[in-house]
Amino acid sequence: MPAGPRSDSALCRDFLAGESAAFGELVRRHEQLVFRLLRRYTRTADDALDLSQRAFLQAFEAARRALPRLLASTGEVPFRAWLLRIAVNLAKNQARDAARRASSPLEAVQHEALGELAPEQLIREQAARLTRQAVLLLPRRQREVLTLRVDGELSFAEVAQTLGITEGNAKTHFHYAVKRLRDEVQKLAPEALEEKR
Amino acid sequence: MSCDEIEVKLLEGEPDAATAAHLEGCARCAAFARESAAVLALAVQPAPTTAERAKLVSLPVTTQAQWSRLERRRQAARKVLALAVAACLGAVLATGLTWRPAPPVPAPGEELAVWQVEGVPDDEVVAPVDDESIVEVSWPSLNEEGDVL
Repeated sequence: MPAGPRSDSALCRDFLAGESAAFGELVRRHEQLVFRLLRRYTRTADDALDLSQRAFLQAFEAARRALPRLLASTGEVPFRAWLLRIAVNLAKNQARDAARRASSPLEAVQHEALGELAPEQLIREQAARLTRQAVLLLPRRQREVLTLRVDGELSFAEVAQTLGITEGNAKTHFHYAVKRLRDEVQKLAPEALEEKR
Repeated sequence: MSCDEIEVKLLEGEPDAATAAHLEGCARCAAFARESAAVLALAVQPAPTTAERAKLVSLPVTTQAQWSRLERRRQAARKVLALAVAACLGAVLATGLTWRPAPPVPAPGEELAVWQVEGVPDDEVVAPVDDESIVEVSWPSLNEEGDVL
């Protein structure tokens, strides 16, 4: 019977024990998720790639420092939770820097040509961009919970573990974030919601 | 179930039979469910484009190369640190071998040790003191009138 895929903990242990292929496997496993989380905050794909690389390097460094302690206790390395927490922190810094530069990453996207879209698609695309811009303006914790939930497709328990908050707290932040976004979209692009009725 | 509880159920993504039954008869909650779903669909970050995916392919290789580079730098820094520590230890040891303690300084009131200087007779070092050469000094005695006796 063929062995199933190795767990993150096993890959981490194997990499730190000298198996370099385990590094690539771990990166490949989580790269899409990390990239997607960070892409929201960056002007270009290259910036998101740079931040993704930093997130992985910091997560491996954290794993290396904590591995002896973790092996002595649970033996589990919460690599994904660390990785996402680091990515969220990098995103937070990116958002802060973008605010300092007074130009949101999505402003750059706004200037991109929308191509040959049909009018309905165009309306939807513009509404999506406005909504994503509104996401960046949410209070930090609400934004983090929402992006981990919708971009990362994490359960509330995983969101809570990643951010170091309770599950109930994560649900409350998500609730407020959605309500706030809904109000924003109703103000800025009501047709996007009308369309669904 | 109240409308508030239904909202929570909907946002938690766990609608059950009771929620569905509530939505059938509550226009407000039905609108909330529809609009929330629409907003979340709009808020989601699009999946990486083809061009972005092409760039992502290189991420494992470039990240590992960067890790190796940082590792080499860390090792070099550790070597420099080890050399610096070794140099400091060497300096401390060398100082310890040539160091001599300073003679003790007597505390106030403590008797000084007398050192015999070789080749010099005692009487040349300090002249002996005769008992007769010691003069006692005291207040003069006075008579009853206060004159000095």
